[in-house]
Amino acid sequence: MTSKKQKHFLKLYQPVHARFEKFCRARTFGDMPYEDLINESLLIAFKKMEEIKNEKAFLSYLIGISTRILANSKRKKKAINVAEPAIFNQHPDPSNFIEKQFEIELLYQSLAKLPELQKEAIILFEITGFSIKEIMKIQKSGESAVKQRLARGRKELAKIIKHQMEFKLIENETGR
Amino acid sequence: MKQEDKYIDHLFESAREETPQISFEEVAEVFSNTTSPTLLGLAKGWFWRNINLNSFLFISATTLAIMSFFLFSSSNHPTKKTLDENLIVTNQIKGSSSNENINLKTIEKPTNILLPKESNVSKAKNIKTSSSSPKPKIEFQKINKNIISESPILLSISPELKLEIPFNISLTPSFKNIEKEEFILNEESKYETIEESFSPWVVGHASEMPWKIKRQTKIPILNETERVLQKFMDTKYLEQIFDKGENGYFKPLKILTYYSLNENYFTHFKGERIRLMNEKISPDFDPNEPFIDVEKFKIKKTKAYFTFTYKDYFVQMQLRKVGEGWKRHKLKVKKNKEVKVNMTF
Repeated sequence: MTSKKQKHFLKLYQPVHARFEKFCRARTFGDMPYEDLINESLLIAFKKMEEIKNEKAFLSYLIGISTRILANSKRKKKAINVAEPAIFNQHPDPSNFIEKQFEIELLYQSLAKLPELQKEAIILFEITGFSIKEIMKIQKSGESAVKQRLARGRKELAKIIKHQMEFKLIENETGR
Repeated sequence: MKQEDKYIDHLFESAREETPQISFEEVAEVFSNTTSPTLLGLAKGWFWRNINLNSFLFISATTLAIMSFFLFSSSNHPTKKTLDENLIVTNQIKGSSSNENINLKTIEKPTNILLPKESNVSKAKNIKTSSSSPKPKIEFQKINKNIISESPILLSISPELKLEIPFNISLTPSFKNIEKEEFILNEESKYETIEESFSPWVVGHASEMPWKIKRQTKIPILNETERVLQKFMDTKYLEQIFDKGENGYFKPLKILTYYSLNENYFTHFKGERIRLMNEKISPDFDPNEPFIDVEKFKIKKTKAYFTFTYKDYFVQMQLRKVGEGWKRHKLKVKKNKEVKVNMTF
């Protein structure tokens, strides 16, 4: 019984794994290890598998779960008053990665500085590949709100990236 | 499009194209490990799926019933009946400790020398027939006093004269009193025994004075188990088995019950109280002396079984309930595996 359920669940998950993994990586940057988020989301989804009405919407179901997990973990962290760890310290030095990986890492770092909803909307739209309508459902917001978040987020992201690049350039020039 | 936007698009594209750092297989493995049920989890799942309140109540009731059955069956005595019996037994202990109920009366009767006085005997018979009035009791007491105080000639009065009414009869008895009195009469008369044995003065010698001692033993009201045990012990054949002492009396009997009987039960053999012991470690137990080693003592609805060994003897007895009393049903005695008696009554 359980093994059947497991198999069915994994069958549903397999096609959306890559997208979900990317979403988690981008979304959790600096908050928690993305592997943990994936596993926790999958466990909750598995337990509440009977609630899934449309199997095609499995990814958005997973994303909804992971978003709630992240929100809860952030709330707990605030309640305990644990000092936020420095974002960059949690990851290895980007200079060790190849160029592409460095760029991606830079993107995630920049995304982590955006407000929650903006960040989520951008990740869903640009990286995970959801349409605006799907994001509307996930974020339970109107079309204009989602579009606004995307536009403002992009602007903010450009600023952050520019700042980051300048910072990196200065860092390289000074030889630090 | 601005250069910054182009760069951001390029970044997003590279993020989209990037291969996942964790493969599906790794995630699936972790997922399977965490979700695969353990034995405890399976049991828990089965329990919650199949056990509802009704079945839980049913299981607990059944468990309680089984436990109580085993508890009661492991105890020595049957259930409700035994409680009543124990109550009676404790009452008896109180009674017997003060020696109120056991009356040993000795009347010495010369068999050949003295002739009974017919007049007295006939008087006694008259008294017996008119026992409902208090008068005969007074006469009887007078006679008894005479026996004790005067010469042996008066001993010729037969022991049949010893008619004693164990309770005071009121002159105007109510209906309830009559019922009660009748009951006591029946009970006492059932368990009143008169034993006859040789006088200790003539034991081991030619009896020049063939006196005999008659002993009357009154036994308190017995409970069912005691009655059954007494009935077993009243078996005539047992006289051939049990050891006698030098004085001609039976040696004091001891029964090793192994908790199949209450130690306080009253039972006797030929007027001598039998000592009941649960264990060999009892201070009164002497393994060198012969004792009744109980193998089985069981009372069922209509049958009672008593199996024991005594020295080389192996005795099996069975009683059958007839009406309210018990009747001897079977007796089997073996000595060194050789059947001595095998009777069905």
